[in-house]
Parts: sequence; structure tokens; C-alpha cells
Amino acid sequence: MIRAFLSIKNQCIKSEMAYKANFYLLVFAGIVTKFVGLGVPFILFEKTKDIAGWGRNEIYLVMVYIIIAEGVNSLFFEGVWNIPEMVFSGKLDVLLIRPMNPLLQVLSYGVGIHGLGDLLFGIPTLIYLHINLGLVNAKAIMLSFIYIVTGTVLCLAVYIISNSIVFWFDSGGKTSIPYMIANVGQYAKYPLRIYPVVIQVLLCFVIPYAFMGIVPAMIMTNRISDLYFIVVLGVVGLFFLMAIYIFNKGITKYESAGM
Amino acid sequence: MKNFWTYLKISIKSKLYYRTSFILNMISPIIVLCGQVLLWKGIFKLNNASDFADMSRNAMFSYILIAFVLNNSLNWSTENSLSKDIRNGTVVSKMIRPTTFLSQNIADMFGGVLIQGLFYTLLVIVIFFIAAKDLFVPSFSNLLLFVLSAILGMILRLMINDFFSLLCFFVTGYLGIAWLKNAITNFFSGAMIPITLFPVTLKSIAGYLPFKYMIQVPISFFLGEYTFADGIKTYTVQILWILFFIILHCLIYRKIRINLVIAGG
Repeated sequence: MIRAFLSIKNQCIKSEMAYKANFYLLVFAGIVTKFVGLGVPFILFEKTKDIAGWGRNEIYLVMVYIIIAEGVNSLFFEGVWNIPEMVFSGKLDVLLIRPMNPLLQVLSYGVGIHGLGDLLFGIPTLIYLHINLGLVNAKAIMLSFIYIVTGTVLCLAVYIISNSIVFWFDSGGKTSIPYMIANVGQYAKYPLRIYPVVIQVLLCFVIPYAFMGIVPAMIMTNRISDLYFIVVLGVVGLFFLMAIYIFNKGITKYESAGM
Repeated sequence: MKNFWTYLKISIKSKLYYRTSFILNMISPIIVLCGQVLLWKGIFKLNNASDFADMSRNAMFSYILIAFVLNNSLNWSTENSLSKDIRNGTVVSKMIRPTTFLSQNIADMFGGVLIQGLFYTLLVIVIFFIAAKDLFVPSFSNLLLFVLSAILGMILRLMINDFFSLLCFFVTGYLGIAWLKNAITNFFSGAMIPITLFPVTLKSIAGYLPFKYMIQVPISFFLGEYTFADGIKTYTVQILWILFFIILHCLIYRKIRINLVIAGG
């Protein structure tokens, strides 16, 4: 199954590479977009020493975890954004009759080349931050790797749930609900303390973006106990199972367009 | 001009066709706006100060609101409609119509600006009425100076957008250019953070680019940082940048017409 997934992905990358200028431009755009994204905290820290007790590099660490997770998602699971259009046009029919998991098939469709730019920017930045924050031991490196994986899975779970809403609320395949939910992730780039309690609850329990960057960074910078590592794993695992359940439940609601 | 209004009407109608989708699309940027407001509220609260780097709390919140209107009057879909037409070849219909390519493109984008801009403007006016004591309210003369600069800024934005869209003829794709344009313009226009807060080097780079005339400069009028005397100079620079991009459009479009091949077009 994974082989089939990678094979489809390979074809997607090949088709993207057919337009060479656009391919390289997308990679470059990914790098520039993320670089500019760090511009806001960079400017803020030119004027202030800390934000809620967090230093410049610590905020960057939060952001880089998110950048890498989003990059991996764009590169490997961009197909998740096709769910609304597939449901609306009836293209999901084809996927349902193939002897392969429909969710895996949906995820394999399409590739976000800008994700490669995210990774090309994110990974060296993460290495730089590890050195700068003194996180160069084996434990820190291993934990950081795990947080990238959990962040990626969590990000994917949020995208699957938000796009699966279309099974219940179809709006001509043009729903912007998934983008709205994704935009909530903007809040999770800064320390939770600066937000009102409602937003803190939202980011921790409703759309748990906090577990993508903030909570891992809090553990890495010794703000909270290492034991929270288990909480991160638990929340991400639970949310991912919920995403699979919602997608599968949505499939049962799916009515073909009558192709 | 008659053709322009006809295309403008068509643009508005087509954008309002999927009404629910259009309304939902307008809610999305509001979530980002709330995030910005909460972030700055938190920063001011934690620093326990009434100003941040010489920018007062009220001025900052007014800046965020006005920047939100100016930046989001043109959404992703409208901004990239020409690019998509170029990508799939349907641009050919625009090229054979008995009116200029530029006016069709501007009319198409302007249709989106009218609806979306109006909605966000009304929203922000309501916010200003409700939370006037927490915001910087400009004098009538500053408001007039701002409106003129904002209109010129919007025309400049449409022209810059047109320029980036035309580049799609050369790279046969639009996402890369669209992402790149968004990243650069959002940062150097002052949409993400006021340029007045930039460090000296970045501020001087922004000074050489046209992007700040789309958002930062009009808001400076709103906040009373620019006087009437500055106005004449600033409007002239805005007009010169618009003319520059019109000339650039003509040059690029002429080159495109000579070399253009559309399969089955």
C-alpha cells in the first residue's frame, strides 16, 4: 500500500517537474514565504527583549516546528485539500472501487512543491536553533525529530477533519471552511500566555495546534516537564484516530454525483 | 470606458454567483485579523506600556484594522484569475475581444475589490464606532488625504498584480509567482507589520520598492503622520509608480503577443 502511495507521489512530482521554471519558482517561493514569515518576530524582537518571557530563538523554534510540519504535509499529503472538489465532482467514486485505502489514495493525489522550499528553509534553521539554544545532545535531537513527526501527523489530522466537513456540508466544492480552520494555526505561533483563556482552550483542546509547536518548544526549553512528551503523543494519536474515523464516517455519507 | 463598466458588471456578477462560498471566503481573513489583534493586545499588556517603539496602542490597532481592509480587498481567487486563465489557455478569449487586455484585467480585479472592499470597510467602520476610545480616530482632512492615497494605492496594487500575472506567460505556472508575490508584497507593503517598526536596513530597502505605497503610506495619512504638503509629493510618487507599471505592462504584453502559442486557442 505504501509502495502504491509512493509510486503515485513519484508520478505527481514528475508531472510538476515538467514545468521546470514553475517547479524551481515554487521551491524558491516556499523558502521566501517562510523566511518572510519569521520577519514579524524578527522585527518585534528588535524593539522588545521578550514576548511573555520567550526569547527570539525560542519563538523561532515554535515557528520552525510548524514550518517543517506544514512542509512535509504539503509535499506528501497535499491531496487532502482535494477532498471537497472530489466529493462535489463525484471523482471519489473511482477511489472507492480501487483495492486501496481511500484516504491514502486521496492523500497521494497532488504534491505541494512549495513544501520542499519549507523543508529547505526549515531544516537548516532548526539545526541552527538547536546549536544556538544549546540543544545539541542526542536526547534533544531525538525529541526534536519526534516532535516534527507528531506535528506533521497533527497537522494532517486537522486538515483531514476540516476537509471532511464537506461530506456533511457541501458548498459546490468551493468551501473555505478548511482554510478558516487552518488559519487558526496562525495563533499557535506565539506563547499561549498572550492570548485570552478562550483562545488557549481552543488551541489546546478544540483545534490542538498548540501541540504542533508551542508545547514541544516548551518541553525543549525546559518550561514544562519532559513528561509532557507523553501528553503530546496522546493528543496527536487521539486526534489522528478521530480524523480517520471522521473521514470514514464521511465516506458513508457520500453520494455519488451519478457519473 | 463603456466596455470597462460592462466587464466590471460581469466580474461582480460572476463573483457573486456562488454567494455562500463568497461570504465564507470573506470570513477567513477575519480569523487572521483576530489573531493579529490578540497578539498585539497581548504584547501591549505584557509590556505594560501604552506605546510600542513610538507607536501608540490606539495607532497600532487602527493600523491593523486599516491594513486589513486594504490588504484583503483583493482575495486570492480574484488576484490569480488572470494567472489561471494564462495557465489553462482561456486567456485567448480576453486577447481577441475588441477592448484592451489591461482594462479587462483591471475590471475583473476591480469587481472583486468593490464587493470585498466594501464589506470589509463597513465592518471596520462599525468597529471604529464601537471601539472608538481604543482606536486612533483621524481628523476629517487626514481622512480625505487617506482616501485619495488608498485609491491610488489600490490602483498600484492592481497594476503590480497585473505585472506578476503576465509573468505566468513565461513560466507556464502561477502558484510559484503568486506565492512569491504574496510573500514580498505582504512584507514590504506593511500588511504584516508597520514599516515604521522595521530596522533601518529593511526600512531603506522598503523605501526603494513600490509596495509600501499600497498600504503603509495611505495609513500614514490616516494616522496623521503625513501632512498635506507630504500628500502632493506622495501622490506624485504613487502616480509615477502606476505609470511605470502601465508602461511595463505594454512592453511585456507586446512581447507576449509576438511569441504567444496557445494549443487549440
